[in-house]
Amino acid sequence: MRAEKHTAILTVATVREGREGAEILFNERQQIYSLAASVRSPETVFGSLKERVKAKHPIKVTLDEKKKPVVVGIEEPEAHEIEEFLRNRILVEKPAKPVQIEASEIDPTAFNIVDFKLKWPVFTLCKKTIPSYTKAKEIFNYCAAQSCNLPGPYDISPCIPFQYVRDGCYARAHKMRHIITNKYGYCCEKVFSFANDNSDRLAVKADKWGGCCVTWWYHVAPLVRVKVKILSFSFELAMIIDPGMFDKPVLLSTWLQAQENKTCNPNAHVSMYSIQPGSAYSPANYAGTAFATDPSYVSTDATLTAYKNLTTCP
Amino acid sequence: MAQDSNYSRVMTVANLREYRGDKAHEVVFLESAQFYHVGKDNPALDSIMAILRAALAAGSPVEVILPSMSSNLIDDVKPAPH
Repeated sequence: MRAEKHTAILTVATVREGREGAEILFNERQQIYSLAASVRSPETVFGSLKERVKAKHPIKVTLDEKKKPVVVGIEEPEAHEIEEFLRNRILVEKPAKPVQIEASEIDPTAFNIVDFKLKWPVFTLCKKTIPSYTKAKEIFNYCAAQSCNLPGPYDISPCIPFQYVRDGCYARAHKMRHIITNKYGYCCEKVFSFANDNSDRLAVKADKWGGCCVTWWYHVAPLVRVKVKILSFSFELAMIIDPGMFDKPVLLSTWLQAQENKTCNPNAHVSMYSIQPGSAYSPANYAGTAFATDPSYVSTDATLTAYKNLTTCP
Repeated sequence: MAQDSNYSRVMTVANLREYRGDKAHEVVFLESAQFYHVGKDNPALDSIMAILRAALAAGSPVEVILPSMSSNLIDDVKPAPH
């Protein structure tokens, strides 16, 4: 049984005017809460809550559910409370198992062809694939134009820190997925590469950002399927949108092979990879068999904001 | 956000790679793609590694203290506050 008053970290679904005053709906609660008169400056709080809806930022509330559900206090959660909130995310249901691979031995003339050599269950879930490379390039250019190292203005908020590739790939990929699915209306999966065997690590030379070497234990980027038509024969290629690494969409094999730069690190090796639904945000275990989600883009936007002024190379 | 000093972040240990000799131990966390390093010259080396091993076994988060947000060199580790 709940205590009379208790605190919780919640995200605001909406704020509205009810018959008896302000009503607050939380994504994590089924009840409709009213705002206590004792909460200071309800008009200001009301306005702030609407901003929180827009920003999808969690808040710390004190709830009184003794009689009717009422919000009696609102405050900013501490960093560790936000982290814990974000950690308790819903996982991807029945993710595809990762596949071990030797990226250096990929046959690029066959590997990238969807439903030929590249067969993944997630491809059956969405059929609206990109009609041409030209369109894929347009999408790539739009994403790249939202980079935080550019002066702006940006079409999205927050901007995407492609200039900082040491970390945050999960947030950059998720923001791009939102663009590809919502602005353009095309299918978008996620490809994960892992260096989770022995002393493996993914190693890339950040040529776009100063040429230093960067190592990861995993990397993720949006994967799109692009139609190719040659006379009466058509097929689809798996291509990756990764402005942090490239200047255009690239084949999946190119993306994987770029992460085995042995001049950066002799142990550069992709241990395994998998293709997941676009909802997959980040790994939920080292083995790459479970994935966390970020359906409200809370973690995504917090990470993008945190990294917006960072640079990759000293 | 500026590159702050004494930056801390609560993360979940995904794997530890412990090395002999002078090579720094490596830590990977679920919430970050980077490799993080614990230098062999860190005065709190033993306690840091003990906390990380326990956290890995339990699947519990730790608070990782770094010199700045963009650093991957671990200064200290504490069990995450509840």
